[in-house]
Amino acid sequence: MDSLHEEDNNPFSGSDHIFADGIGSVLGDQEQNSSNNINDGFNHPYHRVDRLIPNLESSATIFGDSSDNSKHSYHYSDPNNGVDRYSSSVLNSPQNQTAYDVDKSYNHDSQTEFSQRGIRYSFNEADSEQLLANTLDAKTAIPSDGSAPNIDELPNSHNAFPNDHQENTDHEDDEYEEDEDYYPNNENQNSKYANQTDHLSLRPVAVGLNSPITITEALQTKDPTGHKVVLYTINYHSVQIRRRYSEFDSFRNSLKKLFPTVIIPPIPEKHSMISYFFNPISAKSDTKIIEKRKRLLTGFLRYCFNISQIKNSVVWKYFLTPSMSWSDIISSPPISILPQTNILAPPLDPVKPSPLHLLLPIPHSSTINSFRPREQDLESDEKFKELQQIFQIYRSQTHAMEKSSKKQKKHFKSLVRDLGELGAFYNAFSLEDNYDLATGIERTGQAIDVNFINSEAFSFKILTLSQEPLFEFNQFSNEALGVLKFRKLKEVQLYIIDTTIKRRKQMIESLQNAQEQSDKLEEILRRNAEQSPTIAAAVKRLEQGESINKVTSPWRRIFSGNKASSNSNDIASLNEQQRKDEIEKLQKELDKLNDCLGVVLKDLKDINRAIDENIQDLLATFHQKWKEILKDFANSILIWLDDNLKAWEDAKEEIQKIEVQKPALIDNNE
Amino acid sequence: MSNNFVYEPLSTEREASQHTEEITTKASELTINRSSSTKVDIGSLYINSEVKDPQKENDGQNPYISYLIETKSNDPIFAKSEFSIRRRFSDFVFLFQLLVNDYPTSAVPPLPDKKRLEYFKGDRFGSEFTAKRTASLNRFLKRLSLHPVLKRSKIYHIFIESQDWNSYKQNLKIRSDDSGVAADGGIITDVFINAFKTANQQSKEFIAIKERSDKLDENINRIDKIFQKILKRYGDLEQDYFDFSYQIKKISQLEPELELPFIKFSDGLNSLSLGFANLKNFLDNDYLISLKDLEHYISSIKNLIKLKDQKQIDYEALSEYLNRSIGDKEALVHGGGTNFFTNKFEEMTGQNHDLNKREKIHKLENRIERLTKELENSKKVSENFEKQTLNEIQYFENIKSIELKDSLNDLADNNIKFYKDLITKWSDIQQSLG
Repeated sequence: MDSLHEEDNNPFSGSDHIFADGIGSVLGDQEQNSSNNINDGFNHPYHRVDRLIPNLESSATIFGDSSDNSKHSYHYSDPNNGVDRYSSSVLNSPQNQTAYDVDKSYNHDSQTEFSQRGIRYSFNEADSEQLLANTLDAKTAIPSDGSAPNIDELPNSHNAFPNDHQENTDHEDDEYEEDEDYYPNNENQNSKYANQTDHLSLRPVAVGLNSPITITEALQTKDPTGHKVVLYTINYHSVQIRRRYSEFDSFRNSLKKLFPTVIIPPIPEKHSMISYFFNPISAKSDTKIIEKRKRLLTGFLRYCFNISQIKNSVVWKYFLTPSMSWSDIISSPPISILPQTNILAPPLDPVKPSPLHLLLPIPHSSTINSFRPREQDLESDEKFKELQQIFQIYRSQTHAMEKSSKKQKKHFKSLVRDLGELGAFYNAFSLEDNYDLATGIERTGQAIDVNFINSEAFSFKILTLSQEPLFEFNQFSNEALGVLKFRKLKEVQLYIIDTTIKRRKQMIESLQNAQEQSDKLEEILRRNAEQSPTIAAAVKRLEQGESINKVTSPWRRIFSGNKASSNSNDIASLNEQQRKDEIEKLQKELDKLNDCLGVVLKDLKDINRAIDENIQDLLATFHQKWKEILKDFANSILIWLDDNLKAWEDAKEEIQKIEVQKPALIDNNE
Repeated sequence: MSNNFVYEPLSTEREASQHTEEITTKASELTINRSSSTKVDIGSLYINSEVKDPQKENDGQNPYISYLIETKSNDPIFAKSEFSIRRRFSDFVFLFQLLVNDYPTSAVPPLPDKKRLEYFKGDRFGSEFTAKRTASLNRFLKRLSLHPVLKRSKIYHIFIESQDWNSYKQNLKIRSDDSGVAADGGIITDVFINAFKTANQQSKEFIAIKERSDKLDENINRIDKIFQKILKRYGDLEQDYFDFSYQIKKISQLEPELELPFIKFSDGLNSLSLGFANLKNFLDNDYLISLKDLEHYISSIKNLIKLKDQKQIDYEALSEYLNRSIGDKEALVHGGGTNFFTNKFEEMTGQNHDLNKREKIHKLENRIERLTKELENSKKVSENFEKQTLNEIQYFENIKSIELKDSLNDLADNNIKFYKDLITKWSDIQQSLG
């Protein structure tokens, strides 16, 4: 009895404990350490829900109301004129106002993202001192944009993906790549290849040929504050749009949030701070980065153009409208009204969340690998697991291959340097008095020179034909895994609700049982009390003890596990009225939970269908792209081989013409 | 003197000079009268030896490598036109030493270093080491066969032909131990005495020759160095494309529909890797060795020029001595040069001044006569040596040009093979990709 009281006095520690018990009993057959993980994982979502929805009463009323007015107040139809209506209707609900205020100020730019979130959390700090610790936890637990891929950045994210740290090592590669540039003008050396087809369409972009969208030039200029910026000119149906790299980056992040089920095409990496430090911007490295970005950003746009969800989206239209500045675009819907996290929004249209979405639990990413899907989901889960494996292999393989092709390029460049030296030396050698050998040596030098120029061009082809496409493959795989992870989180969400419903049902059942038991007991006690004063005193004490029992927030209970059922004494100690109240409350919760379940089931159905479709599209793109890479690589290598062969055959012809003079003997007849 | 076995260099010269009339205008058409008294055009005589197939053999406890020497020749001096024997490295060394002894005026083509790192590492039986050595030994024999003087050396013929080489070797060893040391000793002391002198009268021709050989040496050295780097690149690329080939193969598992193209592509990359490996091996085992061997040959030539300079220095020293003696005599004859004190001393000791003077003059005259003869001799030697050296340089230039041509040709051939093979392979891949 005493320990129970203690727990009740400290609702946080108590609820954690009971929650853990609840989960532990459900996953009783799981191994001890994995259930520990689950406890950790479920902790944060629990608090998060608690924090997001400060008290049952307010959200309960919203909940009750929303079933009536959600149809109009959360309907967001036309981005052009629906803005005002939308925000005004949203303001009706105090709960949601809080959420959307934050979302409005939520900045797409990753650098300011953190500070914005900081504001959000400081707002919460004021609520309760105890929340501070949880908030700090939540800061790391909640992905910055609510979509799954960033979960990888968590320090304690599981080793589900062994090469999660690959990004870290990439900096080094970049550095040496930069150092390797012996000949700054390798793009110019490429005239031979450039003559075949235009520079960009050589890249195997799946929809590359005859694409109406291309980045035609990069314009170096200064922004109003005097900083040097590069504007990339997009040519789209003969309309010229200028955007900066950071705007592409922001655009892409917005797309990720708007379409959590779509595998958003990659853009080139940000220039890392480390390489800035070691390689202060120079004109040379600048042009290199700009050229690379031009190629890869064109690829990005062309891929996007091929994805109907993106192509038909209003953000895409905005982005390609010259008169619209990017800052205007992000401060207007749909970007401005994006939810904090996509896990609490409908997956196909995150800007139209139902109020129920906000009540959903947020599963922790570390729980992904330890939960068991519901029986009826096993089949689809298995299918997605296979896809996940494919992309995991893809990701690690393409990463290794990208590295390998970087090495090839590096070694080819070194070879080019040496061949250049050798060719020059042979040519100089032929100029010296070498009798009859001069032309033969000279022609050998020329052959080496041809090899030099050819290999130079070929080393550039390695960059555009294998290194960059492999980078894209790698990023695509990463994105695909992110989307799959999002699906999985949604599945975990379903699982949490499902088990909570089961537990609520159990609780009601046990309460009803207890009521029956209690009725029987009371009957017996009453009979006995008439004969014994001691029993009568005990009955009295029992009645008093019940009143000490505090009713904790049912909101915590919804997802916290069955507090009452964890202690049968607790149930037994309730009086009839309290039991009735409790059952009624639980029944209410159960209704809400069932509503939530309905929402999540629909979400998951949508997600499964959409992701399956999108992944099949991606795999088809991969397939197409591989074909093109293999073909282009074979073509390039043949050009390289043919030209070199010709040069050497010329040299050989000249060498064979060499006639070595016989020695002219000096007369020895003395 | 076992004249049976050794071709004396002078006799060679004499033989050659018997036919001066025939070679005055066309020096290259050097012909000699053979013992069979049939005139053979030496220019059309060839000895083509090929060193190959190194084999590990056991001589009691000491294992060694023997090399097969296959020879084809139209020289009637050999019993057959095609023959082959096996020799070990120490046999080559022995041949080399005999040639050096017998032909002091020739730049005998050098052998590869006996002391190589492999000896200390213990893998002197490794295939890479023996392959390189085989190439060098092959080049050594080729150079001998191209050298107009050395190719007619009896010992060389025995070396490439005779099955009784070992017993010859035993006899020859004793002989070369007796006389070789003495002959060497003479040269060594001469060289030693005049080690710090330089020849005063350097002909312009030789200055140019020296510059040329220095320059050539330097160039070969540079090319060697650059190729060493390229060798490394080929090695890197070999590994890169091997890895890439493997990775592509792995990807094929993810794209079942493209499995065949992927496997073909992977195969093509593997051939590329192999091609680089072959080019690398060619450079390492053949081309670079040929450059190294050429460097060695250049240093032999340089040494010969140094020796020529010594002969000239000897001559110059002698002529200086002669001039001094003549001067002394002149002084005595005219009396002007005699010392007052010497005269006074001779008077006091009662010596007949005139007698003494006559004796001295007589002595000096004797000396001058002897020196003049010596000088003439020395002049002949020096001049002969110079001519020989110039001839040697001609031989060298010829051999060098042939070698450079051959090695360039090999280089072109190997590159052509590399590209041709890969073109076949990749054209096929390109077609299968559609």
